Amino acid sequence: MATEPKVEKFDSAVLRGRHSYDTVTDKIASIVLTRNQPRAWIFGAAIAFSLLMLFLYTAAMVVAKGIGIWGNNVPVAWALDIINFVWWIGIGHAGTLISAILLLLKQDWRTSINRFAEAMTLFAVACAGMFPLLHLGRVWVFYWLMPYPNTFALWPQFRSPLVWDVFAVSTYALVSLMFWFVGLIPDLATLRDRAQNRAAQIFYGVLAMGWSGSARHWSRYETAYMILAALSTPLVLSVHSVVSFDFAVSVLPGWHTTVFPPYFVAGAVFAGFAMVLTLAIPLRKIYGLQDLITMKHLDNMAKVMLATGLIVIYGYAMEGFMAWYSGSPNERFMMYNRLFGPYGYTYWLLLLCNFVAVQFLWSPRIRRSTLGLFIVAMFVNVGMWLERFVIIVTSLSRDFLPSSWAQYHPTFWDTGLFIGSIGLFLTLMFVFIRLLPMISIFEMRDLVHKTGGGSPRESAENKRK
Amino acid sequence: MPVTMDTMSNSGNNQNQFSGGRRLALGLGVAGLAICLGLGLSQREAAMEAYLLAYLYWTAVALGCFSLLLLQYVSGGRWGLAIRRFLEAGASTLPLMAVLFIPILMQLKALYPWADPEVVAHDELIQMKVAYLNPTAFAIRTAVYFAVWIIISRLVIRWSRKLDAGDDPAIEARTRRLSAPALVIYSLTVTFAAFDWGMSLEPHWFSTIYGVIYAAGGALAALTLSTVVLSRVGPKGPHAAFMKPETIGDLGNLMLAFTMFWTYVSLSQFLIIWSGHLPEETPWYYVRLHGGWQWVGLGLLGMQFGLPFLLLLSRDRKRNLNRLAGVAIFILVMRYIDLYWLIVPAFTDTLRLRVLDVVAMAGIGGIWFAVYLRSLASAPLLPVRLTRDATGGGDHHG
Repeated sequence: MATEPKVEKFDSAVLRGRHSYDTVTDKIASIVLTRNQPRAWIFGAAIAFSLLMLFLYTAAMVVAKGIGIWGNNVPVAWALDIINFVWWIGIGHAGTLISAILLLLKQDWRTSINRFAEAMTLFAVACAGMFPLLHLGRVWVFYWLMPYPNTFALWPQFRSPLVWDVFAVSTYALVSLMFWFVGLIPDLATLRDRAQNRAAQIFYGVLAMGWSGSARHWSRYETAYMILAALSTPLVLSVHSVVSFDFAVSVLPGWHTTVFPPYFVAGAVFAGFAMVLTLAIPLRKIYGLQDLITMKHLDNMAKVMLATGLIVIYGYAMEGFMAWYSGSPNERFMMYNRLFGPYGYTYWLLLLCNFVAVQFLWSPRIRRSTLGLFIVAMFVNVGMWLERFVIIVTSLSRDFLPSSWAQYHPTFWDTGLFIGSIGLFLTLMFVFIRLLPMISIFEMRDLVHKTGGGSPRESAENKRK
Repeated sequence: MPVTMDTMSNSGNNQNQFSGGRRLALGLGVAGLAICLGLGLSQREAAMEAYLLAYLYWTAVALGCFSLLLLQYVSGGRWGLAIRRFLEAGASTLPLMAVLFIPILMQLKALYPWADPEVVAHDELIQMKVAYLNPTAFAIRTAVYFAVWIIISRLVIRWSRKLDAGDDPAIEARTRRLSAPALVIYSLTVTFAAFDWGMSLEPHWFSTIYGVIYAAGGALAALTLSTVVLSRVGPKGPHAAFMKPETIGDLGNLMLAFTMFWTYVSLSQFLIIWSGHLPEETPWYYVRLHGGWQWVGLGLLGMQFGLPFLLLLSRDRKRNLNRLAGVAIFILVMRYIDLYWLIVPAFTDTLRLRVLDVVAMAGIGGIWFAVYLRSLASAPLLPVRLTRDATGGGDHHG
């Protein structure tokens, strides 16, 4: 691994250094096809796995004892469970945006980040799905959510966005999974061909589904990939719009406002890019991938984060102004309560994270410093979680009926499940890094070709070797 | 090389290129406004309602041009270069729109219930908002909006002309640096302008997405107008190198994206208000879904969304400038009908069609086009230096 200078010089290249087809393949494939892992991987995976144990423990207890062990109670009947659901599902959106929309917009810089961003989407959706399922109490009858002919005259209420959620999220998970897997096939074949031991050859061979790299395979692959990209694009908007409807179609002040759908979508992309940066910055350092995930990538992601962050701030501004302009005492009280009520500190912290911290991204110096960017991304990760806390808990705890106002206090089982879900996410991420190429090998080769980094002759020589 | 210095100097010398169109537009505009004024003496409210509607339409187009001008500096792309001068021309009508606001300021009482002390005295809800909804604050806010828009647009346009004159690449970087924060300022000012001018016609009602709907409609109108203008002046002018199917296709895709975005925000506003069913909010839709207005609303769903959406799915149509311009003209008409449905039900419960509305549209539109064409004639139809880069520097990917 090359020693990295303290401050990386910024250039606008999406691929740095002298790379040929072989060097990028070696670089990425060798991370998977080796016995040795960097100490950081072992250390990180150990922590992640311990947190996963916490998740399994708390989830098991919630199923065994019932959701009464959570702190949720009327009036705050929805709390950490739905906050975590919205937080995780939002994080997933960056992966879909990078893989689908940026592909259709022909943005070359997506190439080296799309694979692990898509993986992040899948794992985030998996974490998100846990919370509504566990909140059902009786997880094993989850299929009652589906409209199917049954003898007890049970039929979902189709006017409820919660039912739309079931369809939106499951479609999202399925399409994302297909998109990710189809994109992996050529690389799985590369790993199959390069694997040294029998077990790895069988593992990757089965997954590669007989890919031979023939012209016909490539042609079909391109078509399938574009169709999946087109299918994924509306999902970037629809999933989080439906999530926002969960709140907006009710009449609760703080939930019922028309700006919610676009504001939630922007917030999702915002949170997602923050998470991609949170993962990408350490990964490129540990595995020495600075040539492939360049400062240009980080700079672009920071710009997307700034733009979506500003849309989110626009949403805050509209909520604040309209609460006053509506003239409704309930709306006005909601805003006052947000600012100065018992949970007021969460709103000020939210403004610190999502409003103040994001402004640093205007500066090219911050955008091009890995440390600065990492800090801002961490602020946003926290800020977007707080945003959902503010919307959900603050509004519910003091609704129309002052006699029923009550504070919400999360129990160990609430926080344990949340921290545990981070463990689930990270464990899946570490396993993914160990087993599958985290950067798309063949798309990087394509990028080498396009940028002229590996001249044909050089690559041909490498091939002959 | 498709663009020679010869065609460029031709295009630079287009001072009287649109003189016929300008004279026609100016004549139409003056005549239209004169009729409005004449009728306004006897039917003040009808004239003002027609005037406001036309004013909001053309201001939306001007602001749409302004916002797309800033956006294309931030995003880059050949589509932005191809229509940059048209967007500049649209943005250069903003001083005119500031002047044309004066009649509205003089006749606030004819339009806005909150401007009438009699009404306010008996309306508790408006009294709650009187700190915001009062004639002085309204006038000051409008002056601030226009001051901000005019200063930014003049700077951006002047720098763009300077870029043509000399080869100072620093200017473009400077424009780009201004454009991003300018977009932030724009999004806030246009939102509150929409609240003031449109939403406060029904002062009880409120919706946090209203500003976005107005701004998105304006951007769609600006994009379609630019496409139409491109199809008229493009084939003869220096645009030949920019008439590639990919660039036209980008315009078509943007048109499709804005159409879908308009639908997305409009329908989600409806869904949220319908579902909440609150007495504060539903009256706005109640009026618009009764007394004949419901047919306009349904028509919008089919004609402002459905038809353009289906037409713009075709890749062939999006890549053919003349066919795309056909869709663009249709959308421009639908923009008017959408605004009609948004604004006029504030004045009347039943669907009505007035000749005066058309006269006012022609009046303001005529003068608007006269200024637009004068601006178009004042500079080459393509930014010269960038054209040279784009055509001389080989075919860049994307």
